[in-house]
Amino acid sequence: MNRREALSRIGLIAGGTLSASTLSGLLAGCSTPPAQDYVLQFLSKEQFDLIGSMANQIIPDTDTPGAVGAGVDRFIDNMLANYYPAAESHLFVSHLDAFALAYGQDVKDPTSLRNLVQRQDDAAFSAGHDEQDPAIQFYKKLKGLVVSGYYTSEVGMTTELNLKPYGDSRMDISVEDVGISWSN
Amino acid sequence: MGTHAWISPSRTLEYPGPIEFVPFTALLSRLSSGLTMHLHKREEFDAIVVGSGMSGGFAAKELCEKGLKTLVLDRGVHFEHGSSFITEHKRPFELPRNGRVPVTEVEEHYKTQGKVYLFSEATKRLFVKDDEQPYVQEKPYDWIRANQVGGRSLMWARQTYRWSPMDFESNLRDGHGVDWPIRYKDIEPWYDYVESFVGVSGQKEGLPQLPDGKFLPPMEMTAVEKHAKQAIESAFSDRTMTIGRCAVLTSQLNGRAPCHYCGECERGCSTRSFFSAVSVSLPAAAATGNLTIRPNSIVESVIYDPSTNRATGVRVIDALTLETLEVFAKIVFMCASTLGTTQIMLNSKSAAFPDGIANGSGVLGHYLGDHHMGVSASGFTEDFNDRYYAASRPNGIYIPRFRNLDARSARTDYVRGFAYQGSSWRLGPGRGAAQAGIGSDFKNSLRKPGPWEMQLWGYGETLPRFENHCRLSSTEVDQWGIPQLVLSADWGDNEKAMRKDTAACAGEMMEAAGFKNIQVTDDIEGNPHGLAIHEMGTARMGRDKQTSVLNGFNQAHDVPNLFVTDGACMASTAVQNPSITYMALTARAVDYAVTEIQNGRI
Ligand SMILES: Cc1cc2nc3c(=O)[nH]c(=O)nc-3n(C[C@H](O)[C@H](O)[C@H](O)COP(=O)(O)OP(=O)(O)OC[C@H]3O[C@@H](n4cnc5c(N)ncnc54)[C@H](O)[C@@H]3O)c2cc1C
Repeated sequence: MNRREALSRIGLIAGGTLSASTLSGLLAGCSTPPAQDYVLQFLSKEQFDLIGSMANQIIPDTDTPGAVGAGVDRFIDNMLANYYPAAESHLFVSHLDAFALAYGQDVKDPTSLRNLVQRQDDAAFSAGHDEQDPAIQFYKKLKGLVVSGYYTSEVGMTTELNLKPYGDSRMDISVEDVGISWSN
Repeated sequence: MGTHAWISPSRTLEYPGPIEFVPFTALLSRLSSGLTMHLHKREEFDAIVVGSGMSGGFAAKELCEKGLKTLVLDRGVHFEHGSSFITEHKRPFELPRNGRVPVTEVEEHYKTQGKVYLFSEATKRLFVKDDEQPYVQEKPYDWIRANQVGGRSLMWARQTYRWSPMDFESNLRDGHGVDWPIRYKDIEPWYDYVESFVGVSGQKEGLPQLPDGKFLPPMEMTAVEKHAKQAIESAFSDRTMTIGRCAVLTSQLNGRAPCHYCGECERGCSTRSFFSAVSVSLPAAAATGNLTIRPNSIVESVIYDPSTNRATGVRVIDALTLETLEVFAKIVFMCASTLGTTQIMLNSKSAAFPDGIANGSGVLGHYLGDHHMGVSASGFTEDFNDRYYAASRPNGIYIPRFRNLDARSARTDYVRGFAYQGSSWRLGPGRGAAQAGIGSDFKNSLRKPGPWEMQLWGYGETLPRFENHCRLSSTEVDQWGIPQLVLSADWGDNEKAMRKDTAACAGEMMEAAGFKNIQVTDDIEGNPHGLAIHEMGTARMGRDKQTSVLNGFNQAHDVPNLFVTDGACMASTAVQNPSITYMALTARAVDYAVTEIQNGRI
């Protein structure tokens, strides 16, 4: 959300009851994009690129940036380094490596990769699939991270979706009034 | 608690400007100067309040406004309106790991606190670290604690329901527990008084089991809730669904602004629309000039003088310097939370009270209650896809108790009753993780709001039982040398029978409202005592000093200048969220105590 947008949203606030300092608090949230010179914390450059390519197959660029444009690759590296217990992160990466090994050059070609990811997705959500299958577990975890990373990112929350405005108390409106989903 | 590296100073919200909040501006500086005040050895106050949360904040306000020089002690850190609200309005992407607390950190420090639904990177600093303040679970017990100025008033879910006449008569009627020494009419004016100050939004319903209060305008229901209300009320003539009654302003009150619906009250509320001790009651106390508040002050015990039979003050361990000091006052109000208060009282041993101060009855620590929860029903509907909402409402819906109210609703399988909180929403984009599909179609489908889901969560009354108790460990002490609390409580047959009915009624109401894929859950294992965070009892009120600790004015039977006005005083749990009742009892007790002082009786 840029400053102007934020201000126009704040125009929605009933009665103008927010103090100036609260407003500046709201606006401070709409700050600079994350640094471009990201230093990898857990993944190798190759693993990071593969994660990004797979993530972008799940959430591609459309009229808004896709997963990589929203920083989902960095989010996943960060989660592997700082959220999951080390053993869980290593297991995840070993499945990623196995995937890369199994499909060799295919993972480097966007069309082949798209088909590969589609196949993983079909398997993971097919009727009667085996929840214990490590490949399915890996893929579902990846998809979960891509979705949560994207829709909690600045791009996902403010460009792709509507960041929830402040100041409106209405709980029963026409869906047409907002058109697209709130981000949370 | 130091400042977090990731919080940039520019994000710190300033104290709101003087335009909307004139009454509060001056007093906050007084509050701050009180905080830094150094206590002199043997300094005397008119009143000491132990704990600065929901109950202590209110006690402080009342005592100060009645002219008593009041010292408030809290074991936690200083927490200030505005400047302490460092995560207010932060988006997930402005928080480390988009708001997630590392798994290993939860394991290490927040094994119990981490179970609370609102525990996250944005709120973790409000909770105690379990490993730093251990307790003994003789039976599984989730002791949810917040130690800072403001206590758990900083993160409560704001649900505010009066007890009814039948709640104060239930012990007498069915013989469980001791008869309450008060009746609804005794507390009714105090509910009026406290609600008028707190600010409670809600809808009047005229129900005998859930008296109406002094309400600000109600919040709105969603389309699905409006429909469910109509369907449930027409299918079940004994049931009502109402909008939650909640301690969040829907219109201006005493210079506080109405809610701006950010939906994250627990992050702090710069506009003071959300009631907390830090934003509302403590500033009112400070405005009198009579308040001194000292954080980092762990009260170890109450000092007792056998020659006068009075509590003369309290012993304090400074959490930062580990220095011990004693402070003195004419009266002592215990508001350190149900279990915090009881721990201090059990630890206040003397020749006259070898088992803890004011424990002549031997019931101190016993009759520990909570609400039982973990019974819920959820369902989806494909209707109302053209409806949505524009607010993050800090509130849900409520279905008041409808069992065992009268002959018609009497049950043979259990006594007392249960109620439901609930809410509805459209699934957000996170649903994509559990959904097939990739690519732009997948992404575009998540751009639209998902299907409507509605849930009901049951809360049930727990019978007062002697064996549900806390006591001091004879072997384990904490890092300050204070004996750890042993917690020992479980659910009885009455609660278990009630849960079956709670589950059945939730399911049938969801069905009557036409929901699909209804899931009814009864997770008793996952919801031990404590997790409803409505722990009550352990220093109960009663008519007889042989069987209770406090009289009808929250005054210790055995030590007349010692008052307990937090949840420890409760002689039964009823089914309503209890905080408003603690505050009403607190205000009433202060009124009585001050009269007793004026009349020279204490
Ligand atoms: C997530 C959550 C949601 C909740 N939702 C609701 C709700 O919707 N409705 C409702 O009615 N209630 C709700 N509650 C419960 C509500 O917060 C408590 O009932 C209320 O805060 C209790 O008030 P209190 O003053 O007894 O204790 P607290 O508010 O916990 O305050 C106790 C204070 O005493 C201090 N203290 C403890 N021991 C010592 C000591 N030895 N020396 C000095 N100071 C000490 C603590 O640091 C703390 O600040 C909720 C609680 C939580 C955590």
